Amino acid sequence: MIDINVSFGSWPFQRFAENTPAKLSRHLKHEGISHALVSSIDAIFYPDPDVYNRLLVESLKPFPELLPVFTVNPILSNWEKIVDSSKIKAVKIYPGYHNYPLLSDQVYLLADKLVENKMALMIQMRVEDERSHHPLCQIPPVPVADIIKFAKKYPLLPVICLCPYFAEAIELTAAANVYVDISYVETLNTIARTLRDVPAEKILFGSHTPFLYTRGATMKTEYAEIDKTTLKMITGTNARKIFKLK
Amino acid sequence: MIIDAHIHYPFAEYTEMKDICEVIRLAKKFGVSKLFLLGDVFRHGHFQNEEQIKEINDLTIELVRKHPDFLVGFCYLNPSNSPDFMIEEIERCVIKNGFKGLKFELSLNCRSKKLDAVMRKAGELDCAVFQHSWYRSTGRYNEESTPADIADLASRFPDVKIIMPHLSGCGLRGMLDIAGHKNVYVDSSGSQPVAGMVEYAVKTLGADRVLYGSDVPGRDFSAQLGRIYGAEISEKDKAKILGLNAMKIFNLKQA
Repeated sequence: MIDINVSFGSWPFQRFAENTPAKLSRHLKHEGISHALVSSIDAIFYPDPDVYNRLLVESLKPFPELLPVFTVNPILSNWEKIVDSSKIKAVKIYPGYHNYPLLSDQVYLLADKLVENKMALMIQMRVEDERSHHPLCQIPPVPVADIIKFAKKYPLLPVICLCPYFAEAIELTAAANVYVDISYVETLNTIARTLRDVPAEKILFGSHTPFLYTRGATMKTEYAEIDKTTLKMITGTNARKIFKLK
Repeated sequence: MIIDAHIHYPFAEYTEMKDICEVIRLAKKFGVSKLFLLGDVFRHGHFQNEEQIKEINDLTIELVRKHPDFLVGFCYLNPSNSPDFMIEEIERCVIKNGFKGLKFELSLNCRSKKLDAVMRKAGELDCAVFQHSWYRSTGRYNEESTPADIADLASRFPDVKIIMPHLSGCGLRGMLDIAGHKNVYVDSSGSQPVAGMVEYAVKTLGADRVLYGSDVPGRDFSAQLGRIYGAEISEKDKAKILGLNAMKIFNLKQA
């Protein structure tokens, strides 16, 4: 099983049990996750995300199943260097936390570059439920309408939305090149119900570990009332294809 | 044995009577053996009149009668309604229909003295009370209760068991608010399965004061049970949270 939504690092509002790469690796294996795309939590608030991208690469080296995903802030001048140095065919952006609109020239330049490099764009729509943000640190989610408009402008760019809610996931995946992870998608009989409105090839397994209990996501797939082929697509095949994983 | 101490019905697209059978089917698939039905709390908005409250409870009565071994009813009330009506409604639901407790939502902050009559009645009948609660940084509803408000209610009625729903919504601050009030319990529902919350609840309140609740059908058994199974607590504590505590608090007999 491939988990496309894992983070590592420190967060001021939560304490994580998986606070070393070794613990994270052990934990994910225990949960049945063979590979994970991992980004740095510290890169969200630190003024230059690349400092933490590099530290992430170093710390994950002993764990080849943990694949580092670089965080890019397109309003900083080092964005292109970060994109070119990524080994994974994707980078992650946090428009809410880095305080820029998705529909802006800086992001368009990033999108052009990703298309040129045949890479995907991961958009962290939210990190936490907005209702539980620190009252003085309320970060708006990335607007669904902006993502759809952006994705339509770049039909060759796979856009992977992390942490959309159920209704948002349905709306987002109406755009041909938009994909969603299941970490925040929740309704009764989650996977089977979502598949009524979202094609299987648009759904990716993501747990949002360590912010959420990994088991919350694995139980969604473990108990999913779907055939084995569809389950395999969600838990691995789709991710392999989009991120060009071996 | 798993008891889900927090579900609603109907909700969203689950509006037909046959749909409750689907909820029960899915619950059974996850090993759940009882569902606490807290009522259709958003029907008619937040400030229901007496007729509307009766309509909500009529539906719960009907559902519990159809599935007596699986559904446990709770009497939904708007504490702004007249005390006489509320007492009558409690007697109808609890004494005549075997409901196990009361449920208050967003219609009146629980610091209000208007709750006193029903709280006294709850104490008299040994009924537990579910009082909605949340620390909402996006702005709270006018009459919404916070965990601090629940602590106030608990200190006024120390002999009445109060369940504070929404572990993730109440947060660490909420658990600290109620920690000193031994008659307050927390249910594990609310929002996504935020990691570390169950461990913190067990450490702060003790495992005896934590109940599993899903908030289905707005939520799913998978993610909500995942937060209990995924928590780094003992198997003994998990068993308490998943059902033993509810059995004890609500005087339920094992099937």
